[in-house]
Amino acid sequence: MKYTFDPHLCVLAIDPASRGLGYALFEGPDSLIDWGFRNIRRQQKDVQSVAFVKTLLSRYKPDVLVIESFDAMNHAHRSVRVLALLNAFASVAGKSGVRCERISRHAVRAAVFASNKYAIARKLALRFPETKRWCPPPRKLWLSEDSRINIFDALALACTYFAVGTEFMKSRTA
Amino acid sequence: MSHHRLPNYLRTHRKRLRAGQRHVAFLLGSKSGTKISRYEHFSRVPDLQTVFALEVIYGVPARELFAGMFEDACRLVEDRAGHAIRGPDATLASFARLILDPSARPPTKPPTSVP
Repeated sequence: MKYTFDPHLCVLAIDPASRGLGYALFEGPDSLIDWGFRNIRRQQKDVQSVAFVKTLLSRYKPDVLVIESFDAMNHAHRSVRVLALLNAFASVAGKSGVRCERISRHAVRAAVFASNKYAIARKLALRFPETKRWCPPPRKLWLSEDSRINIFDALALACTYFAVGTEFMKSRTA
Repeated sequence: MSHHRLPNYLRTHRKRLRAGQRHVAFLLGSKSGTKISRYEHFSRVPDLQTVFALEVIYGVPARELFAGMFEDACRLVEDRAGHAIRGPDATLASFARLILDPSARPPTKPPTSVP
């Protein structure tokens, strides 16, 4: 991964799911600009998802697009559609001149110091109080995943990108 | 890496206040949130009265709400002042120097209040 640390770096993180995609936009590590979940449930979900990402890229013109890294050979728990969608996002970013970075779930857990998605969401909701109302309660075994958790997955990806970048720059200057 | 500010941060401040577009629209005297959506998506620029109303609603100065537009305006004025300094008009050049160096400006008298 190539890091160029800038306190005002504009980072867009996207986390696709089966019913849509969560997104978070930062201008620097502490400045959360926009966040949300886009419901995409009709036909041609991939086309709509890619179109939405294109809209975000053209509207906000971020410096970096952060998406989840996966290892298809390592039995990633993601559907084939979502894996293909992540590749499509990377290609759209490349065409728009936006650098695309991939961050693994393992790196996110290490950076946020939390064991699961809900613990990560709670920690991030404390750090960014404006997102508290979106923080879902822990999932019961008989319930499907709350779509709001994708917002926090996207937040976590962006925060991890900044955290790893800061550590990288500290190690260079030390 | 070149850093650019967004034209406005209306969406950010609205979300921080946990308000919907229709809530802001009501305070601005609009019937629906369509106009607010257009402002937030940078497809429409609000008029001066709306800018001040937004400043009141969000409690944030207009230059911070419209940070990108403010930066663009600053850059344009500085560019023009630079051209004026290099130009033939001496009066304009001295005025442009005042613009580029605010410490050289004469002190302004505060407005007198009407009794």
